[in-house]
Amino acid sequence: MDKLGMVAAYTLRQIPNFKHMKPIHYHHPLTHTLNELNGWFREPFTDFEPFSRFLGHRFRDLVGDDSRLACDLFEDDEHYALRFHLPGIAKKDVRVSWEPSGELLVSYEREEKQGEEDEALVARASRRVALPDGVDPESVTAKLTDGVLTVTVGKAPTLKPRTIEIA
Amino acid sequence: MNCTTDKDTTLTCANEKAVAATEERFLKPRYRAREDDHGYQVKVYVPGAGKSGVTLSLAEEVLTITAKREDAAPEGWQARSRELPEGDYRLRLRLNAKIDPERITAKVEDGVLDIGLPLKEADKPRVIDVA
Repeated sequence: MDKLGMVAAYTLRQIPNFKHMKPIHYHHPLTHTLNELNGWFREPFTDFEPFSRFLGHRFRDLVGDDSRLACDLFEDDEHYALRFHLPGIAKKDVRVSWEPSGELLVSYEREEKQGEEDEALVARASRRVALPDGVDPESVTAKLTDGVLTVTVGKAPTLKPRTIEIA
Repeated sequence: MNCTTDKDTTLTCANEKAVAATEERFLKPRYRAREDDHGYQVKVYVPGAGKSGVTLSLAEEVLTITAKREDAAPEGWQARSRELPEGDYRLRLRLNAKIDPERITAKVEDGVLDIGLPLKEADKPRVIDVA
């Protein structure tokens, strides 16, 4: 069993009600407590939203590293465009693929150092987007700028709007 | 806000409401902070913000970070579904530590803003030799 799997098993034992949930982020329970205590006594700065300070502190990592990527979908006459936020993710860690089922799969996987022990963790998330029939799989392009991934898919001629002239 | 029936107060209330209505709405970005002997490193996640849109200002121990989004959808595109939050980013941090304002550093790369907040020399931990 890999490291992440072991941790997942541990977490599931601890919180039986969460059995149905997929573990998405790992925090060693002990380091977490220590960090929190440290913060309590010597908080270097506080931010302005009390909610995030007390709740967000605990859940920020969980919420942030959701395993399902959020995405925006745009359309114009010629294309569909999908937009993802991937701040700090290198181009080489992102994978965009066209699945034979007609879906677009966007995922990333990255090792990150967490905490003072410098334990390597793998952060990963993905999103599957089903696009309408008749998009052109050859025309998929992807661009990553300023932490925003934009995937453009061209529409096949049948999907493009057409004006019919009245004879 | 408590509005009394007093004429003057009502006036100011209305005024403040007008100001509040025109004030821009901001997104609070996620951030992480780390500490070492020299100070603090704050990573603020600002996807879509470029170098030119970021401002940092320090006033009365409050560090205000704003980052303008430059990833607006091009003209002519229609949104079919939106899940990503919209708006520019703003994060305000009250510094409880003695930060040297002259040496604050900031760098934006791939949608991550790295801020270095060095402590004032006098506030760094000192090693005292045991005689």
